[in-house]
Amino acid sequence: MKVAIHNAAGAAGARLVETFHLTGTPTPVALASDHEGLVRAGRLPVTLRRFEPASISSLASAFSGCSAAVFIPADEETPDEIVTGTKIFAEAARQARLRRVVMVSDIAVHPPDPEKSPDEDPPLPQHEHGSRPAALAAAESALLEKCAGNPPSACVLRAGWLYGARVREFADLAAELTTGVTAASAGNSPRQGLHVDNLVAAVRAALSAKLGDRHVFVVTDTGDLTCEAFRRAVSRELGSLRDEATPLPAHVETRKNTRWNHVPSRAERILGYRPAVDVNEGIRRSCAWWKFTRE
Amino acid sequence: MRATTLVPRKRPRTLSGGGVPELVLLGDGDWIETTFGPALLRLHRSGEAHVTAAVAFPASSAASLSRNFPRIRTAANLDGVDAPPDAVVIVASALRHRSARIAAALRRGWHVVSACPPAENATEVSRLCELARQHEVTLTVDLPHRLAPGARWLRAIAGGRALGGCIGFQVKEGATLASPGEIPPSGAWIDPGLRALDLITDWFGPAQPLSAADDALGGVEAVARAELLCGGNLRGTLHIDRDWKQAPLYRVSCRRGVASWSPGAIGSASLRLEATDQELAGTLSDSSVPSDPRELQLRHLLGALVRGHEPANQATLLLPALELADQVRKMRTSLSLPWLSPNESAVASSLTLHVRAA
Repeated sequence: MKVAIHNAAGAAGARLVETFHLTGTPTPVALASDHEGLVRAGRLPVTLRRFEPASISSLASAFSGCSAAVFIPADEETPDEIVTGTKIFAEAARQARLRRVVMVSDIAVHPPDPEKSPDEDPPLPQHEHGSRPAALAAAESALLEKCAGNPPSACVLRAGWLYGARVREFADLAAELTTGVTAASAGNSPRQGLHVDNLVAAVRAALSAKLGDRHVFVVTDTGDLTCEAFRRAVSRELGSLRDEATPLPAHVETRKNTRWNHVPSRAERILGYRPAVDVNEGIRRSCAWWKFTRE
Repeated sequence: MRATTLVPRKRPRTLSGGGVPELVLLGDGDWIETTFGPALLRLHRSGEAHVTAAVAFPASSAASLSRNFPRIRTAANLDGVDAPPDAVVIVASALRHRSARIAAALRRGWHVVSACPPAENATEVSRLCELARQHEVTLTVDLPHRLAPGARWLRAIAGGRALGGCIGFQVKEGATLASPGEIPPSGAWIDPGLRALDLITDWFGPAQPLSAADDALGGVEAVARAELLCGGNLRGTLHIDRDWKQAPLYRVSCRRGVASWSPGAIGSASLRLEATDQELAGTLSDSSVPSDPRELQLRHLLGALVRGHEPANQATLLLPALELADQVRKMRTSLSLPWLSPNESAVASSLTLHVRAA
């Protein structure tokens, strides 16, 4: 099976191409909207294709020969671009007669709620207009609506806070920890992260699972790790554990106050998803990548 | 004792009849527009050169170009261009076709400004230089980094005039690429590797690699590292990372201090003297020359053609860097990629061994 990776330039896309190729299946086709976006995938002897982001026909042409595609909104995309890009992706997938599309969304579409786990079934709560969670929620709806009852069948993965190789937020955290700026306690709220290798495992499962009438799945690492424990584990792995307390950066502060606690039971039950790494191994691989970039 | 045959060196022809040089653009229109566009427009409007033809341009680029140069002609290949013998062709074709396009232009008696590099290896570039000499035209290369104030500042420091003899250097690159885009992309040893190797060999003289490694797994490398030896006893490191981009840095350690240059839109530099633990930091600028290095390159070339001088940025200047790049690619080993799973690492190792043996 050939699978088009829509945003091969990003951390998740690059890791999908890498893992799919090195494990032999499925065959990845790396897509990017500019030449530089193909640099990471270009290390491997895989098919590389460039497409015009605003052109349905260009993207449909880039899907040529593929039976499935993975759509990953880029971190730098604006809310409007996310929604528009998803609609273009969905129509291009239909025109290219793909059988399955997988969208990687974000658990942030669920607002923090200390009392209960995120509910995968609609309706999603209202988000501030123009925010990224609002755009992702709208994009999910657009994709599912376009694919309702017609091929391709769509699967949405609401991924936890991604960490691992090439993930900007993790790199920011590692940089802060290794440059001696030590954050204050990150709090005891559960930290719903997702190592990028577990996202790859979830996408792999989602590409071939029988979905039935379930199309949305939350995927996170085990939820018994607090934000503070995660930060200290990363700090220890980097060899920079310190006890001084300084204020947290804004993006970590946001996460600190976020309480998600969800076991990916639906993903396990319906998709057959099994994590590729536990949290300790995920942190070890993430820190090993960070150290590699500093050598 | 061996006899030496001296071959008189042919000089490039000057422009005939004092005419205004014609500029022909060939290849990646987006790249030419982004890099040379403002300079071409200024030269065209001032009457110092006329942009007359665009060859093998994508339709979108040609349309954009015709807005700025209404009389420009388009052609599918060089056979469709009727420029006079002394025209200047800017060649930005994909690297795998570039050498052939340059050779075709040189044979027509046209001067060439090539995207860097003109060809993938030193042997092929030497052949092109010889072809240019035979046809009495010039082959120059787009090397804007050489004209940056920071590069010239570090060149002087590397010469030992300001901070004493050099004892080491450290180069980090990868944040910005200079070549026309293509699929597959050129490897990190080429872009931005050649830019870094060109500066290193320009500052410190001939270099040889002590070690080299990269992350190619059957494709082209995104991360490359080398340890280099210059002039017999000066060691330095080169780290290129196009996978996780970081700010470029050129640092030269000398007996009396350390000088650093961070290239970018505004090239910043710092200087730390050995006798102090304080650092002087600032921005380097040169108000006596155009701030656009592409304009400066074209002006150098056009001036040289009019006056019969040797132009700056001749392709022969790039040969030491190309030879060094050839050497590192021959001796490179594989970097260990520690974020891969054990199974992936095993496959990666076998893949790399297989490809490199081939």
